[in-house]
Amino acid sequence: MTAFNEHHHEHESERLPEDVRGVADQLRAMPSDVPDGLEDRVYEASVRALRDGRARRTGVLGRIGPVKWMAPIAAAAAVGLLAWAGATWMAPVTTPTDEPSVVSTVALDEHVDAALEYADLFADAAWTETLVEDAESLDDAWEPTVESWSLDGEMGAG
Amino acid sequence: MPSEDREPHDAPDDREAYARKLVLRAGDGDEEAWRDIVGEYARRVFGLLRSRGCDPARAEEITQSVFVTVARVLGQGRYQEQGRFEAWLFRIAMNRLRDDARARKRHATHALGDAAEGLQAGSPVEHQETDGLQAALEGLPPADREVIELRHRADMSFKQIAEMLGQPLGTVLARHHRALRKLRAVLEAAEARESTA
Repeated sequence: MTAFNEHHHEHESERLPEDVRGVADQLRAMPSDVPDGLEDRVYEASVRALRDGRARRTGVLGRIGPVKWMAPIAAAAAVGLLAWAGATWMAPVTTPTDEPSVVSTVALDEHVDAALEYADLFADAAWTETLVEDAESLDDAWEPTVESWSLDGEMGAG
Repeated sequence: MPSEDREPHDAPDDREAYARKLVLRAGDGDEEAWRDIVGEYARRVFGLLRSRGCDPARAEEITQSVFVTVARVLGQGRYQEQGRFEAWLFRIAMNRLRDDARARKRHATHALGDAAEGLQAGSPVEHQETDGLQAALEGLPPADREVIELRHRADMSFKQIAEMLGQPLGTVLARHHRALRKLRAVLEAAEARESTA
């Protein structure tokens, strides 16, 4: 019995009913078979767990706290995901490079004609002029490449 | 080496206050405080386990495992002090004992068949070591015996026992008194038989 509890039991004995006080004393007097060095072995086995737990709590990540150090990572992941989703959604649909698209000047001419017709609807010379300029600049900027142009495609061959 | 806080306490509230102080210090990394906790409770946990039928080696093994668990929780700062450290500690010990008994029972059932009987929790392993009082204890109903063991082996207060078992304090006190009276009756009967023999 430890000093911690010895006094407690002495006081309790006085409070127990007289008819059972003797039995209680006998119970407390029962021989203990606690092996020598028990406390030392338990201490040695457990103090490492105390240190490890403490180290985890006071380490850099432990001090910051799991929520705090995970928050920036989670935020970065979310931004990355949004960027990827946005890029995927905004990206023009491209055909695979092994099947070059067939582009013809006919299509561009049709586009310019349509623009001019649209401009005529307003009968506004300045605006029409602007649209024509836009169409022409588009024409200048457009240059068919070897990959995107083929004679067979131009002639309608499959 | 004991710390300066180590001193006898004669009331449950003092005991809890003492334990609380040690627990807080141990949680802050004070290894001397942890040594005091081990010094204060290891024997009580061991005694409780022995009284529940553990052989000494197994009782020590479980005692160590209980304190490793408690140390880890304290070190990580996961223990919420509510003035129930002792009840928490002994609950861990009882749970660990039940787990261990279940595991051993399963293993023994497969490996040893009928030999498993002697390894079940609550059944004494070393009958040859039991004296009259021990035999009388083993004859008590489990609920009564549990109160006696928690009170006299684990040195828990009645209030702590009531909290741990989830029973009203009055029930625990009545059960304790009734169990002591039964023990006295058994011991007196044994004495009477011896004297007439």
